[in-house]
Amino acid sequence: MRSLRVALVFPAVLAIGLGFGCDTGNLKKYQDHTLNRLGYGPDAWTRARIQQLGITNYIEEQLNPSTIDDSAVENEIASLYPVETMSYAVSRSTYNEYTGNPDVGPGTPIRDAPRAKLLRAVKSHRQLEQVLVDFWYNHFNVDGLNEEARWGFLTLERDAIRPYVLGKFEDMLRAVARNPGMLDYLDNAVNFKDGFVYLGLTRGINENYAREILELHTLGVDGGYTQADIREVARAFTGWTIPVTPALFPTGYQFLSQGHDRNAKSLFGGALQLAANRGEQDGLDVIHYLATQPQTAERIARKLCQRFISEDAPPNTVIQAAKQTFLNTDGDLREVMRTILNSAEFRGLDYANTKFKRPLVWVASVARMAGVANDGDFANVMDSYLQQMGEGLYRQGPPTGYPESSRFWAGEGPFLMRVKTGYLAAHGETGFDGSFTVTDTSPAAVVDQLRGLILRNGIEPSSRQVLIDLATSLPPAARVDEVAATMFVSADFLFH
Amino acid sequence: MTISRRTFLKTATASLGALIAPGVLLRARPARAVGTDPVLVALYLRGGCDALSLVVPHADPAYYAARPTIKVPAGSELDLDGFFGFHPSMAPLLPWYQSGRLAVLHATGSPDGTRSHFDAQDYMEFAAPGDKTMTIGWLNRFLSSAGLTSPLSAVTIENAAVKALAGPASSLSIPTLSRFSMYGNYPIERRDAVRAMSAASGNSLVRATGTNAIDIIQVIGGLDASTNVTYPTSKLGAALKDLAVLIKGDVGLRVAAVNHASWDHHANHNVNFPIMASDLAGSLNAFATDLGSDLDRTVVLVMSEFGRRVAENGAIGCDHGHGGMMLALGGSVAGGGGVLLHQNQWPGLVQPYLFDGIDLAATTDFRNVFAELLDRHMGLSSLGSVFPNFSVSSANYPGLFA
Repeated sequence: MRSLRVALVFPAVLAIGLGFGCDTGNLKKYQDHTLNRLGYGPDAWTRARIQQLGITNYIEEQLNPSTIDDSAVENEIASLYPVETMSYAVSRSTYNEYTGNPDVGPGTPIRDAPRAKLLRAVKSHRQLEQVLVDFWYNHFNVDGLNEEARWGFLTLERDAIRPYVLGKFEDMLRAVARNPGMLDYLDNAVNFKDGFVYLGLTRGINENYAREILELHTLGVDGGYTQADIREVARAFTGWTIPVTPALFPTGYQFLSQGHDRNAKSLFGGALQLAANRGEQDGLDVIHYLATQPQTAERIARKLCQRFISEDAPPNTVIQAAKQTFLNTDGDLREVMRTILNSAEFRGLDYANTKFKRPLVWVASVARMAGVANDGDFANVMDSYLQQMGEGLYRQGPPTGYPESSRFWAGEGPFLMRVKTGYLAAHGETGFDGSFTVTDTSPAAVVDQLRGLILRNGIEPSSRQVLIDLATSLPPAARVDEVAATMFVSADFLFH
Repeated sequence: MTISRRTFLKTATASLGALIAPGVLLRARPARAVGTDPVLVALYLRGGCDALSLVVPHADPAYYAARPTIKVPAGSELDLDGFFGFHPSMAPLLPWYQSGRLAVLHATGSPDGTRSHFDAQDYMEFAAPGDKTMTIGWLNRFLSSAGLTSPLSAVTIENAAVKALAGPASSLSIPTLSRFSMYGNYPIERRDAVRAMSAASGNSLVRATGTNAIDIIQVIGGLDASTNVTYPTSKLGAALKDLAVLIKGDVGLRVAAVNHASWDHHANHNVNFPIMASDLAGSLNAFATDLGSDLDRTVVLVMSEFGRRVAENGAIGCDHGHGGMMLALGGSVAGGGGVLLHQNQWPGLVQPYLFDGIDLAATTDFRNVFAELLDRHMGLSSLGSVFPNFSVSSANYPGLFA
């Protein structure tokens, strides 16, 4: 198969994992593979950091993001995009109406949040946290173009997901359930006991959120629940709604007890019994139940392994180990990630370069190699390009999020957007920097020196030869830019 | 080096596969001259188009009673058959109806009652109401059934294929033709390098995508993109303009999917709806005009996931409903003789005829419309594999063709 997918014997993996020495060429491959999967690809800072700490300690540092100073990028984002630091209530009132001014209106959050996300992917030193936030937002996907979610999608990520990506799953699930973006998007905001009159309309049970918390957020479609369970879960969540007056409930959540179905409930074949008159505790008990089930643990473990190791065939040994960690630690996601990231399957190169980079991963990895000279311009243009590559950030309609599928991302139109973006990056257009240090303009030297910068973990010999032929056909002054532009769409850079 | 489209078509079969594989289940057709294969364009109005505003039942007094503030004022509609009339913003399409090339269907929809956008859209695009296990779209199943294996057989004028085209039969995602060019310096050198690098890669996904993408640049580069028709300056106008170039250029295209967002008018209906309807009608009118004689082999099917609630809501809009409408525009369509209704019956807008007591009933199953198009227009004889859990009978066809 591919030249890069060299199967390494287990002791070599262990040696790296334990920080023992090995030849430096291989070490760089392991380092870059780690940076490719644990973040948005290598840049100068992460390469220096992983070289300094060793792979094991680098991973450990990434598992504790609060120990990494990220104030530079966060301060910049706060200054460029004020909505990023507003509470739901303030955002809701600040951007309430269309004014004709794109800086002030319901379209402002969905304009600015994707740009902030791009800058974090490129510039944050907390690379693992950024990847995990993307993973979990996709897991709990809310379309930021949807009605009330136009304000709530941002606080969903910032307040309900980011604080918990290395915390307890149950805490995240609870915070997500109380997020106005989610309450709107999956209609729990209008899920009330049958016959409840609210805002002039007679309301009733809405099963939308109940179905998805079971199917998408926790147990999975084959998780062993019935239509009757969906109905009971919906009854448990009646009254969890969005306040009419956000100023009184700044996070955008209110438990409206008058709209709650107070009768007793029996779920999951009687495994969960909810007595009458327990109010909001009904929903909290359902969340606790779902967050502690083995089906949930296995599903989360599997999805994480698909993201971090292999989308098609994640190794069952790691899935089972991660599932066990989840169950042993009450769903402590830092421990689950530690299990996955310290597995031989993650650390080794067997699964390296088997995933087609999602558009955000690819764009960010290009930017981390080519550099960004103007952050605002870069983020504005690349947000638009990501939409044209099929990954509009916070703009995926279905609650299933984007698929973990290489094929989904490999359309011809999006591919040509990558060809164009690679060119823009190498030439320093649209906010990219695009300077590369190459000391010799002979064709093979240009290719090999750029390869050493951009693809330290290798390139197919056929790609190298094509790039040498390309350089040969060009005047020396044009070689670096055009070879770099083209190298960004080589199979070795398109995959990670 | 430039490759003419014809040269390309002869030489590119190694990468694109057989361009027009003989469709084993397609009825035998006389040997065709260039540009005579039928084309189906699936135009999807995302968000739930309000069928009662687009095609107004102006002879039904219940319509006016249900919609005091968002009705199309009586007399301002463009009458079609004495009972229904187009929204005034649909004026550009009226001549197509009057000349018989536009069929209008009402009270269409799904036997599944969901009012969820994504469920309703999925059920329609997979032609499998209520079945969430289906992963292959109805148009993809058509491609497989017809033996159409070239990626150029099907295109989504969008970044990623619509779900109706999801599945094993390949199709292209071409959001704009202008993207299919090489930007910047040394375009030929870089184009050839990307193709050579992709073609030689051990990675099968890069091999297919990279070579197809570059090859299509050359196909599209050989097309005449000029037109003397003026399209609306909208996303839909631009998409249909590009699509017309592909159809007129006869690149082997048989199925195209186009999206038109966003029809979800819970509020502000009187402002938003005319804008949307005007864009739809203006774009389709330009497209049909631009196709010229190629309209004779083309049918555009216009659909949406559901219609909207009969009664308006308290926000000058209306909420998700059920029964909707469909349009079919093409040279071979037998329209113009009145709005097509199941058994010629209007379900009505009053109790007890409303679906769930609130919505227009869907008496024409959308699958019968799909089936008639694939059978009568696309020439597919065996529809069983396209509609696996649905009994297709020509007796249930709505009558799009003479």
